[in-house]
Amino acid sequence: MKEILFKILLITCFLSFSKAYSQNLAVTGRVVAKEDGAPLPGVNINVKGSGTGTQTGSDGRFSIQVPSKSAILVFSFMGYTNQEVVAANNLEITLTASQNQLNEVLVVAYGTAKKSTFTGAVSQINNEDFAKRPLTNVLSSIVGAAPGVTTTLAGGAPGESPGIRVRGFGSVNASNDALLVVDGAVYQGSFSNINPDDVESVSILKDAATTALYGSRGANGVVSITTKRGRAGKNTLSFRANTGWISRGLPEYERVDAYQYYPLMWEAYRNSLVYGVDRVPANIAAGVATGTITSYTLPNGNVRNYTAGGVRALLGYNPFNVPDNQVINLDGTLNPDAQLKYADDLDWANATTQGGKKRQSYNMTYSGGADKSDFFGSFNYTDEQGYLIQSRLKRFTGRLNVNSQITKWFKTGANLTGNYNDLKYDNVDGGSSFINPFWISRYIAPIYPIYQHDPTTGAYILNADGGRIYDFGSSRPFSQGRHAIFENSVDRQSQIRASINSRFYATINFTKDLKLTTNMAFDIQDNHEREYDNNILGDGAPAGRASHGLYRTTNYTFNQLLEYNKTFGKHHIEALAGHENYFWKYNTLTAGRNGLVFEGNVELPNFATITAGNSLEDNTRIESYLSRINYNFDEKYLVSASLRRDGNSVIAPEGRWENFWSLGLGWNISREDFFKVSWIDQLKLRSTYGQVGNAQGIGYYPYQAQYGLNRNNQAEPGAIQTNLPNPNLRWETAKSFDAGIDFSLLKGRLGGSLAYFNRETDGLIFEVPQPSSNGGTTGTANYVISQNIGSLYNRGVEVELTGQIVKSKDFNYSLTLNLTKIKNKVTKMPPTVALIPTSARQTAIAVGHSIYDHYTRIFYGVDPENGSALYKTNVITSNSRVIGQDTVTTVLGEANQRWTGTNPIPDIQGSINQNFSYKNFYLSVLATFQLGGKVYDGAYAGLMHGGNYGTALSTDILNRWTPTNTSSNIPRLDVGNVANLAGASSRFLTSASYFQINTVNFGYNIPKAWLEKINAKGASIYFSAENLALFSARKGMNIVGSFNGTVNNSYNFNRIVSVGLNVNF
Amino acid sequence: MLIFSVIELLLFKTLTMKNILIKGALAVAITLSVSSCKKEYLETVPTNAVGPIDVFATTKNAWSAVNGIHRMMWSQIFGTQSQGGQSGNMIYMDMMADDMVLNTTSNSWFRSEYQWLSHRTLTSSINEYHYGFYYAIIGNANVIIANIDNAVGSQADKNAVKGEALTYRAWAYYQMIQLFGERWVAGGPNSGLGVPLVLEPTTEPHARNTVAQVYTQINADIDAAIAALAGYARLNKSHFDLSVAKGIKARIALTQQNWTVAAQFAREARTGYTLMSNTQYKAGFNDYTNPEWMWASRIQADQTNFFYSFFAYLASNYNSTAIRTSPKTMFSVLYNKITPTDVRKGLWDPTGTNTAFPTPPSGTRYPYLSNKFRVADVNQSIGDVPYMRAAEMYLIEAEALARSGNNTGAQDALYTLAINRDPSYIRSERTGADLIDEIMVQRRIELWGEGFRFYDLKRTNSALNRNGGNHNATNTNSVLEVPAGDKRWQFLIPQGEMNNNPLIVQNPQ
Repeated sequence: MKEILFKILLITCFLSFSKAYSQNLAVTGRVVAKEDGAPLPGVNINVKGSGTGTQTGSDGRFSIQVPSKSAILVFSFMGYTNQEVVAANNLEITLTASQNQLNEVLVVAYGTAKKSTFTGAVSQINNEDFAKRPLTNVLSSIVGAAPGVTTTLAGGAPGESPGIRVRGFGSVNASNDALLVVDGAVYQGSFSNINPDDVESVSILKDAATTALYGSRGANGVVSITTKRGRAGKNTLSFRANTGWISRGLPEYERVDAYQYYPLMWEAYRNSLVYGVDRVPANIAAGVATGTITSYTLPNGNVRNYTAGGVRALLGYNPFNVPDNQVINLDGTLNPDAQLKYADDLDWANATTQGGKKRQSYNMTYSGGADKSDFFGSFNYTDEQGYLIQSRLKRFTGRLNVNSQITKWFKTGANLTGNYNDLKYDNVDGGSSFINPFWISRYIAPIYPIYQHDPTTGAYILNADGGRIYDFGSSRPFSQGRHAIFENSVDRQSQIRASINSRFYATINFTKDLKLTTNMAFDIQDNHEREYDNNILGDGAPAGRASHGLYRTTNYTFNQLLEYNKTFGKHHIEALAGHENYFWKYNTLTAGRNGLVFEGNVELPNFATITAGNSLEDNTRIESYLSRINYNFDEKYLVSASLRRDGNSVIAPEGRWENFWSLGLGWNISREDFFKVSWIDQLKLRSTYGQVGNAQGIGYYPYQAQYGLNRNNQAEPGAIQTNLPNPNLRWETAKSFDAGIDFSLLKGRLGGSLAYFNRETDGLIFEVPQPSSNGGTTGTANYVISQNIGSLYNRGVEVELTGQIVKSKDFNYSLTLNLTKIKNKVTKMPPTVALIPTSARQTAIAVGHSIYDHYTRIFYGVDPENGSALYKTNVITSNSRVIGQDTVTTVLGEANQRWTGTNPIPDIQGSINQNFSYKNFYLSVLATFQLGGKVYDGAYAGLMHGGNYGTALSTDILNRWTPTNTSSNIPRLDVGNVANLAGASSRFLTSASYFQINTVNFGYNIPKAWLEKINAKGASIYFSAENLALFSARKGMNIVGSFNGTVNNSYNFNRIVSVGLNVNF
Repeated sequence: MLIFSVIELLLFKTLTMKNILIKGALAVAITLSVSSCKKEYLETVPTNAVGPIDVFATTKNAWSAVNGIHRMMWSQIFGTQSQGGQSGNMIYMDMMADDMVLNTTSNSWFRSEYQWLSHRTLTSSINEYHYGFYYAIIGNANVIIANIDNAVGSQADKNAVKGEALTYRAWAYYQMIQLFGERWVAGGPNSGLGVPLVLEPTTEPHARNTVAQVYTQINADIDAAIAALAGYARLNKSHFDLSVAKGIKARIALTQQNWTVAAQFAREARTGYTLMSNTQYKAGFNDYTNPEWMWASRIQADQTNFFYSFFAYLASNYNSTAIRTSPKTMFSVLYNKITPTDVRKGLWDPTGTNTAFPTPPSGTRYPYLSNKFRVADVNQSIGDVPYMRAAEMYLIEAEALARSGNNTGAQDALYTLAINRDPSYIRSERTGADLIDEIMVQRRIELWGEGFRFYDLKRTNSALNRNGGNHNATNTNSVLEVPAGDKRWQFLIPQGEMNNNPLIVQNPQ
């Protein structure tokens, strides 16, 4: 409250200045833009050295009183170079669009700012940077676009969002995601709802000064999307059509073929007998594996009976045209006569890519305005069909943005968009479920056919209609009795998502300098999900089951902002005070039934038995008071400060309210009289410091003790304990320091910035796991109590350089280079949990390490005697021995986990964006890269198992240890000892360096002369390719899919090659 | 709200324009429409949960906490499909022993348990499940025991709620102490490490108590439960009552080789139950209205547990991949011990070809295929899961009496059961070890698939011996014999507890 009162005093103070002007001569004129001669409305005109000023109207005309004929008028307009002119009547002023970046207008919290007088760190991507790319999700434009911003590549399912991390990884258990804002209000819908053609700019707010006004939600940076609006006096109609072809962007890992696989698994079986507890003699073991021996009497008299049929029985299939017990010779080689009976039907990876594989997008925009109103309208249809089996997004969006200056002092506007998404998807959960086509096609051994075949001839078995019949593989040891391709083809997973996003505002100008605005943002997203699991095979069998879910997200942001902007003399002041309410509500209604009655109908009445019926409502609310002051003296010395006080329903009442703030300083050295360097256009030093919070992603009621409902016992109501009370939980607090230099040299030929940042997060939320013996839930074996114990920092340097390398009449070439270096380190951990391991990616969190540092068992090598894997250990047991300086063991469990000194965070990451133009042709190429770092390639580890029947093997296994290849670094194959021979260890750490060509765009601007017949102002035709190539340490490794180095079985990114046409009228 | 009114007032003083009134009115309208400055605005609560204060306000509400535990008995535990509440324990206990046979390695469910790998691997789900599931039950019981006395309601209700909670705590500790501790040796110090005794809601770590201390607490709890449940008439067999508490007391005593108590409580426990008919015996073991069932879960369609149901693995006729490709079969050595006139002989098909035995469509058949458990509706994986039957009480009584030297009493108890199962049964005249052997064979046949065999092998200090029948070296990974007393009879404390409880000590590895 205090700061609000303070602000009131301040504002009152400033208001007194505004009375002090007198009126003399009148001057009139008009301002137009240089590039098209169109009148420019809203241009600021000030009399130099006085406080007098005005703005141009919608026709670009103005009228101003000046004290004397020699008065100098300063014309300034966002995005244009300032002009100073001696006052005269009927002035015709032509403003030129700014050449250098420092004149850019930036979208920042609760308003805009001119980059030259802004102290914070913002990267902005404008529409023209991505307009010609076939993007379905506008967030993809962020990949490679800005320094300090780390991204993953969006998955291949239509409409997927990339992951975004701003300046490192600030949290362990709370969210690390940047806050997403659309047209000034926090956005909670799906980002693929938004038509990228509607987006004017994407701003990434990086430091405390730019995010502090988002208070408790700003600590991880903010991505702020601004949609387009019309311009009075500039009516346009534009039409864009784009057609693309989609394919899998990343090839599959290199794996052995059937001829290689069968002898390898024979060897794995044989070795399990030879090296197992029974120590079966090698010749007997070979006979058992081939299938010629089924029983063996141990020296102690115990009889060992083996499954008849040798390795053939264990693999379940003999795809070769030789009898079962003749596939493998007793020496382990494949029978030379063996030929595959159905060689054309073994490629599952290829068979999963049977989707529509195309993309179409049509967009129409009409915008303009007259007099005191402007409008923007658009309509878009996009149809993207993924490369997997069913995945598809059909989207319709429409937008209308209307603004009107009703009276001189009252302005209002509405920006409305509605959209409809019809989405079908495949079961790709990233994990190892039987219906994940990626998991299945990657790991199924190359001996299993997709369709049924005659066991003798190998011919396809056909159904009555002559079609092929899927082979459900009931004798297959891998994905037994399941068929990911069949199931994904006949199951139905669909979503109808519709949303309305609205933004309204009303502004009252009390004086020229003081205005009150109220903003109302209201978003609603409805999502109807339908699932049907078939009654033939899989989770829905034998009855067939269907479920429907309605999910509604409602949120609004309502604020009242009082703004005061004033220039007097060389002093410029902008002040803001406001109040805001944020309200979020989530409702679900779900129901499920099983027992399909009639084929083909997946609505619930067509199912016999109700199995589920549920509903839920969650609420979160935030109330805030906010204020900001920006001051500059002659655009030379810049000061800014902001303060926000948030109350958040997620935190217990005792600690619910918290202050967040920032301070910023800047110095435009190039504006100093003493600084006269001809080749430096602009040079600015800036620095900010502030404190921002984070409590996203920790649930909605984390402080409340809870008994979970819906645990009924037949008809009796039931509940179980699900959550322990935690009144002490608070925000995570990021204290961010930022210092940077912005510069423009050689008349804009070279520009850029260099920044250092240090974001220290305190009160890091750790989910301190309680002993299991103190209880748990059905979901986890122990409770966790989240505590604000822990600190980490993200420090780094970011560089952005843009050079207009060649600038001539016909040929232009520019290059932008972004480089980022981030150091992430944990500095404090809870005393009771000094180390938190994460087994999936072989990392752990502890003081002195990054949050993604590898912590795993150290693979020492292979015992040349017997091919056993050796791991470093600290204990002497019967399985360990000393070799040189190291104690090594053959038992994985005895090896202790150790720090390897590696993590997936690269030494340096960056992007190169090149733009060429020659006459009417242009070409742009965006590439991203990272150097250094290691990932735990778990997907590859899964292909280097020591012998899991039916599971595919990497071609690297061909170089495994054998009695004749004793120097190998790959342990022997042995079905009975897989855990020790192929356990997770440093062996699977792989270089994380990569170079990716993300976008190539080639186009031709059709000459204006050709367009006159159709009255078009401009047109272009262009070709574009997304995700053209990825170069990394291992083929198939999805290195761009995660921040933490997880390489999983997710829907790998796609490649889109497209052609587009754009016409403007 | 007030703040903004003040701002407006200040503004008006400084404004000099004509239409101040209109602007002012609009500004007031804008700011007045803020409707949120009340303190309650930031108070939000979940809709799918309630606070513990509400749960224990009244005994009526407190019953929901008891029923929540009953529901846990068939809830999926820690996301592992084979762990459908207590049924996970039941299947594991038979899979790790000798009487249930896994015929293929191609289906991975229970494969590594069958091969005795999982419970000796720190990070395996079976260790975490057996530790965490029973402690989750104990944790919920502890909250009930700590709070029920202050609830508003009748003393009878309080006794019943507390009695059920105490029974759960005793039973859960009993289930897990047998896995994580060494076997109870009557007359021995039993000073080996058991599990931590946590008896009230807490966040403090506890060290492992000795096996002796744990059994002392188990007995204290079950005795208190028996006192509290006297006179309580339960709503259905998913609840405990006096008979079930006594049955659990009998089990505990049997494990502690306390023969007198075991025999006495087994007899008391079964009082009032009648053995099922031979027709009922063949009806699929899925209905708790069966007169000899004492304690069971009833799972109804809208509380289905899908593929984590007991019947998704053990039923002969449900169409799950596990049943289709890896149906459960009986150890042929045991099958051959069943007399031809025994109704139970018909529950397993020694040929593996008898099509009178149901399988799911294109289901695989193996010799000694089981038909003991069936789902009533092949479209649903569900059925009632038996946790205690009167037959077991006869077997406990017979075994306890036989082991205490009361041959006649043992023969009587055995006869009542055996003549029911086999009309041609002739009253046993065996004595001593022979009689005990006969009772144990009856026990193995009777309780096949119900989760007793691993416990029985361990408490009787027997070796695992899978030789001589249909277990093979390929599928068992050559684990065909494990000597009695081997360290492998103890489960390892799961990695999670090792990480989170600084006082915990691991079992010998």
